[in-house]
Amino acid sequence: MASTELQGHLDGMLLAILEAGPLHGYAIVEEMCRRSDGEFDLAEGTIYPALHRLEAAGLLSSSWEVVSGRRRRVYALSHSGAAAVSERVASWQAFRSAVDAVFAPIASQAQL
Amino acid sequence: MNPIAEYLAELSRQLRRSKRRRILAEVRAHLLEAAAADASRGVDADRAAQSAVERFGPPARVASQFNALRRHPRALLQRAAAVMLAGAAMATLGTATVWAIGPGSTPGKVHAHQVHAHHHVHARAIGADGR
Repeated sequence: MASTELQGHLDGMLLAILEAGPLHGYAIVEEMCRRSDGEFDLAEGTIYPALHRLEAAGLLSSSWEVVSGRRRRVYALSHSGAAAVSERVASWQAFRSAVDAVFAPIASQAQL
Repeated sequence: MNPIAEYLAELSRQLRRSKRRRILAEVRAHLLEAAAADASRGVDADRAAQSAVERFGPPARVASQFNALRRHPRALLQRAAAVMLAGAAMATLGTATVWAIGPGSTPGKVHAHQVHAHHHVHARAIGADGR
């Protein structure tokens, strides 16, 4: 997928991944790749500025944790982050069905 | 020099002071983990480190994304909200003081003062946001 398109939805997808539980950056990248079946192999460095921005906005919190001898910065969804993720999912679904409706005539032709 | 050390040195040169240490520690942990994951799948250590660095993206781009954060409107909005709260608190305090001072003061005057103070703070907040 074009990286600009991906970038526009990055915040929402990061929140959605963290909704399942706290993770560190590397694990978030792996999960993004896994859920998107390899479609979203974004430049891994771009998630960190996004995570820092979401934290500054109060949607995430983070702390250092030591896991099997490695120090990792682990991110967790805050209360307002949990509210934000449901809003984003709802607005994405509305947007997607509107785009589907506009594309529908061509999409049905393509199926013939 | 190891590709990861080289990458971190370049990133460090391009990052602003704010949170540089935390960012470098986080990026370093990510690159080491990515390289270790490849190495455990049998990739040569040097190639694994090189590939981890390439997947992370050019240091100039990562640094500029971090450096842009400080001017993010959300942070400014939060700051503006704090300024407004402080302003509102001061206006309230002022009103209370005037009321406490005494019977001579007219409520109408106090009200005008309060509205003016609030208006002033609001204008400042918009200015901060628009920068």
